[in-house]
Amino acid sequence: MYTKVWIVAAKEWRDGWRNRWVIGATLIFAVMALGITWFGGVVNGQSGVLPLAATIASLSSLTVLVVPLIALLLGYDAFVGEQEQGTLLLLLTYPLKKIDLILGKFLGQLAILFVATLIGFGSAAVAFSWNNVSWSVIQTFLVFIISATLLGAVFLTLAHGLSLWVSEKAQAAGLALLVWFSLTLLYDLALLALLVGREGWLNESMLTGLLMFNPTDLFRLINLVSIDAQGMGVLASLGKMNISLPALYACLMVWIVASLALSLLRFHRKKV
Amino acid sequence: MADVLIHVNELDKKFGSLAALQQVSFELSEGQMLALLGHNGAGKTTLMKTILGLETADSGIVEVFGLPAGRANYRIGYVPENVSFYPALTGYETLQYFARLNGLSRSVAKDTVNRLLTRVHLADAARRPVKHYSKGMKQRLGLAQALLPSSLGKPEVYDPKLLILDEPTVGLDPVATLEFFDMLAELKQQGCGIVICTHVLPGLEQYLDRALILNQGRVVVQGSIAELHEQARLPVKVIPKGLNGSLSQDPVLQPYLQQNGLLSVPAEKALDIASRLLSKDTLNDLQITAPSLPELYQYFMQQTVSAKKVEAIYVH
Repeated sequence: MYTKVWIVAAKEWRDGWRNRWVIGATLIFAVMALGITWFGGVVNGQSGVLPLAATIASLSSLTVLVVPLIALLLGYDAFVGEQEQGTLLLLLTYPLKKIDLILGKFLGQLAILFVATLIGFGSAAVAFSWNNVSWSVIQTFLVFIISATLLGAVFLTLAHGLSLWVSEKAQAAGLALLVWFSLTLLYDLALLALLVGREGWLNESMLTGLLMFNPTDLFRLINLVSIDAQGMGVLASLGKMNISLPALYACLMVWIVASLALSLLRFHRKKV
Repeated sequence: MADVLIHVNELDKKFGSLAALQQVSFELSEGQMLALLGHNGAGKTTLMKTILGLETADSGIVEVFGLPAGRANYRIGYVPENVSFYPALTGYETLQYFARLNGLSRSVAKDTVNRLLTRVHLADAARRPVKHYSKGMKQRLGLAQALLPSSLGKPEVYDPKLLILDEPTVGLDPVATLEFFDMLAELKQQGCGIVICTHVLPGLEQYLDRALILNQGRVVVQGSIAELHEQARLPVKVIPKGLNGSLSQDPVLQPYLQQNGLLSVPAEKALDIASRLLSKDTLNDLQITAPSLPELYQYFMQQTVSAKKVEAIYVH
């Protein structure tokens, strides 16, 4: 089983990097991360590199928009694309289990996402610590890169689920954009509207619970808990919530495992 | 006696209320080529998918190599309709991927892929991305993929003994189509059983051993090409040369005379008519042509439509 998973993953890796937009997106991502690191203080009228906490907070805002988008674009046609080009039907006649195909595609595309994140935030880390290398900076960026990859993994599994749900690539693309828009923008707006419009109606535990239903909020929380979030306004209060880092990671993992399981269920019922 | 590769008996398959296959029965032995013919939606692809175990039968028996459908896919090579493969991968990488999925080790896969690419005349294009392949090259890549052996994780490898090809010649030019069928004929001679579903009928009969015509999920007719001729008994075409105008004056030949000096003669009278023509002094050439596969197909489909009309009138 493992061999088949790696064969599929290796093919996805190779196939993925042949797409110019993946390389382009990685480079744009790196340029944006570098820009935020070097010129992040400009919006506050400051020059030079911001403190670590502020830089991570700014990079988080970039990550919750860009990483899910790259993951969704990478994965939306993983299955429906193969269905349209006739290879999904062909693969089903090979001695390959559906779970091997799902895991192989997931791991191959996750590796691409990890490298894109590593290049993007790795270059930001190098820029940040150019004259000031310290273990805490490296540690913070490592946590950031791992959590960003996990965030991407959630959206990758969601994209694969969508790809198995529909029968046309265009439908999958539309739904992927809807998921991106809902989870990166609409959900938090709705939550904010609830907080402001119905003051006192949402207590802290309810808010915490609602945040768990959005992987982008989980990602934000992981990084706010990891850094000293003082002076970050509303974000700081979220960072001070009584949630442990492992619990937040576990929540992201639940998202990934649940999406993979749903994808597998859907694949078993799918007519190819 | 040749081994039976496919045994289908009274197969039924429904999608909701739609009966996709009804009481379908047939057999295919090694070294035979069977054509599945029928209009779009007749049930050909569903039948192929059922043989591959991708669809389950509602009732009836579907055995491949004596095993339930789907259990012996490692002995089957399959080319789906309109398969276009992975555009960014090269032909070599595409075959290597499928070879590895079939359980071949990296080194065995490498040798096998090179051998098959040469066999389907794609060795020169092996390192080119598939997106730059022509339709014909993609179809040949599909055939090479179908010919990949399988190992099931064991040291020995199994070459496919059965090929299932869904519209493999769509979009091919006439020369590429002939080349493709020549490759199939070679495989057939090596004992490979072939099921081919195609709408490209002209010239196909010379490669076929059997044909099965489906209409709305039912078998209209099946058998060898000779058996189909026997059953249809369509008139043969007799084309005499050098008898300018004398045909219309011959009371025996005149009833069969068509346009352009062509005679359309019932099969059982073909010999008598030919003898009569041969006795004429001015005859310098004589061609006798049996009905083509498209004509047989048209005949059997029309029979089905007529039968349905009669049934409809009777029911109402």
